[in-house]
Amino acid sequence: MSSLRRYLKIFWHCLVIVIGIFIGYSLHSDHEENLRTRAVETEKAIQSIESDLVNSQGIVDRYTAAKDGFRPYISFLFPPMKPEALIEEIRSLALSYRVNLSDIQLDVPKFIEIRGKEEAISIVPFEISFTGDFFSLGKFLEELEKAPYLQNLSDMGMSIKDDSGIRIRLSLKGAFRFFQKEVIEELVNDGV
Amino acid sequence: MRPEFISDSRNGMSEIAMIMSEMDKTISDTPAAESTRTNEFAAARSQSGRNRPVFRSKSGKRVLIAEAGSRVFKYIALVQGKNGYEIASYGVVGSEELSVESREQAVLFRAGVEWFKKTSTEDIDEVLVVSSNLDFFVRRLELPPLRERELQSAVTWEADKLIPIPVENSYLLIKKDKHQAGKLILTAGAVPHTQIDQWSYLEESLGGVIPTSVALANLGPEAESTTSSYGFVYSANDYLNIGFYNSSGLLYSHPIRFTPDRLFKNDEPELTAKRIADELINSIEVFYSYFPDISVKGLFLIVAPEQLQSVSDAILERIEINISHFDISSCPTVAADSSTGAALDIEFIPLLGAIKVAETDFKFLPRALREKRGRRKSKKIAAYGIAALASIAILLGTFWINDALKSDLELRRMENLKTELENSRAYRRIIDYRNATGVLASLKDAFESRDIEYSTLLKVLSSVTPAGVFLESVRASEKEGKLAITINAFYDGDISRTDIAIISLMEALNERGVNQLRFQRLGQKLSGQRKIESFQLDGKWGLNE
Repeated sequence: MSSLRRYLKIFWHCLVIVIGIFIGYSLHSDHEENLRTRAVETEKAIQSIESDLVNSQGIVDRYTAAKDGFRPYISFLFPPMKPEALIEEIRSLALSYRVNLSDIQLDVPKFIEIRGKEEAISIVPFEISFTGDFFSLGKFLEELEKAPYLQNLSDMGMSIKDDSGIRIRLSLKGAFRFFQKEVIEELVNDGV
Repeated sequence: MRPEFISDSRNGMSEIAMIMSEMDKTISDTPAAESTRTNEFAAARSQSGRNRPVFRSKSGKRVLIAEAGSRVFKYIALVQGKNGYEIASYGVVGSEELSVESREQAVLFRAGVEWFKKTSTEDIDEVLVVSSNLDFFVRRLELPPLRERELQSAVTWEADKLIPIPVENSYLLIKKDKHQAGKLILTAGAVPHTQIDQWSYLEESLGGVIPTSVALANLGPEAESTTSSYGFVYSANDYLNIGFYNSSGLLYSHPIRFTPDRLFKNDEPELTAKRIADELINSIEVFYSYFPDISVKGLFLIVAPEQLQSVSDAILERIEINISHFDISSCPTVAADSSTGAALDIEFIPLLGAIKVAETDFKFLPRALREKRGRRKSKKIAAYGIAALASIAILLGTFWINDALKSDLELRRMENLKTELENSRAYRRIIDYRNATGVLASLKDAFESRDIEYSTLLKVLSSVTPAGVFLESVRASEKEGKLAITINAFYDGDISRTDIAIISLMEALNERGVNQLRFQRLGQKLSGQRKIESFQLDGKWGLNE
């Protein structure tokens, strides 16, 4: 019995050491694997940075191209504190198609963050109605849909306004987008 | 007379053969008159300090091989070196010097060991007892090939038959010799428990008890073949030990105890010689009965010098055999020791033979000590095993930690470089450009890619509405990625063609992608003098489809 106990004791000692070695190996392997992964990622990041530094001129060129492509839209972007300018823009667009802006209502805005500026873009829901003949309204609507300040249209209603059937009322629901002036300036005027 | 066997150097013999050879040279060159008695020799050396117990080296196992007679304690102190054991010191101490009055061998031995321990400059690791006062029997056993578990009981049974002392009360040492024609040949040596257990007081330091016969079998001339052998007769204290050996070792040994009668009686020397001759011839006959194929080529005698001639004559009267002997009276008390430059006396022969046995397992140990040592050995093995495993664990741990530290350091260096590059002004500028480019591109995409199709819907309606059908209202709202359309219209024309007009409108709308169309009549009403049919169409139009 005593020898069995002794052998068991030796066995336990050996087992503890072997388990210790196994745990050590396991920890070491995990640690090594983790370090290897991090090293590979870091190496890739360094290579990417070095590549960017070498190709910096290409990056500047791409920025210049993006800026040039964006510039035509700037005159159609309105600051959130001055919705009157946008309404005036829409009114004049409507008039150019012999359409009258009859009513407009703006709702509470939601904000989108750009480059750390939380209220860089304001999304303002609206309900707006126009009157005009069918074809004028159609052409005006086609033009309005292209406007950069229009975020989306979710609902359209069209109904005959008088017995003659010529005057038609067009009501639209959707959202406008307003841009903070300094964000746009920063983006396009090398304020990077 | 020159002892013949000494001049035959055994193959593979270590320093013992060399020592013996040197002794032989000195023995043969020295006149017999120079001899003195053993105790005188001991006293002389004691005076010169040559036998002062000393171990030359602090490293290596220190072994004391000792034999006690009835009046002197003889010892050789050995130190285990790179090439085997080396003699560190030797000596003979008389009972007077040990202050022992008893003539008992065990008492004198105990006093001798105590004296050595007190006087020695170093501790003893092991004491080997060489004893001629043992009922030590050696027999050759022949067994059929057996499994290991059956062997033990078969050996005990067979040994009990051949050995003239009760095996159950004896320690039995077994040496496997060889397999021969389907037989297992074993050599069994037995000694009564009591004769071995008396040395238990030496406890841990006891390396074993070596019967003189075993020691002597190491020193005789080597038999040329396994079919020839040599015999020896050794007389010491109360015992006459007779044995036969060949190249495979001790084959047969038989002790004759003469107590309480003394073997050598001064008043009857012829009778004593005759008794020795009788016993020897009797043993030779027994040996031949066991080993009919092995011849006894010669005998060597180690007996008291005054009895040597008479014993030889008594033997030769009975049989023809070549006899050699150590003539103690003709030997010098001091012989050159080639390795130490000191001197060894002829009386050290059994001790020198025991050096050879010190390296083997053919020695007896009290059962309790053997078991204890076995346990200690297994404990030691276990401790070594655990220590080895622990060392491996520590080595691996150190390696892994070192490896991890190196990897950590390398990674930290890379991360520092990355941070340095990221924080550089040039790279920050690049990131700014890139972010700005991304934002501008995504905004431009948002401006240009539109799902809004309400104007297209109006175009479709204007192109597909057939003659006579008038739209009263159109409603479209975005729902789950599709436009849900509701059209209220009326037909103002030939009332019988109303359905055709409506179906035509529905088909046209369907062709343009407006599906899941549902038609509903709203009834008829008067428009002036004419009846008109009002209806409602519901459908769904996929955006960008």
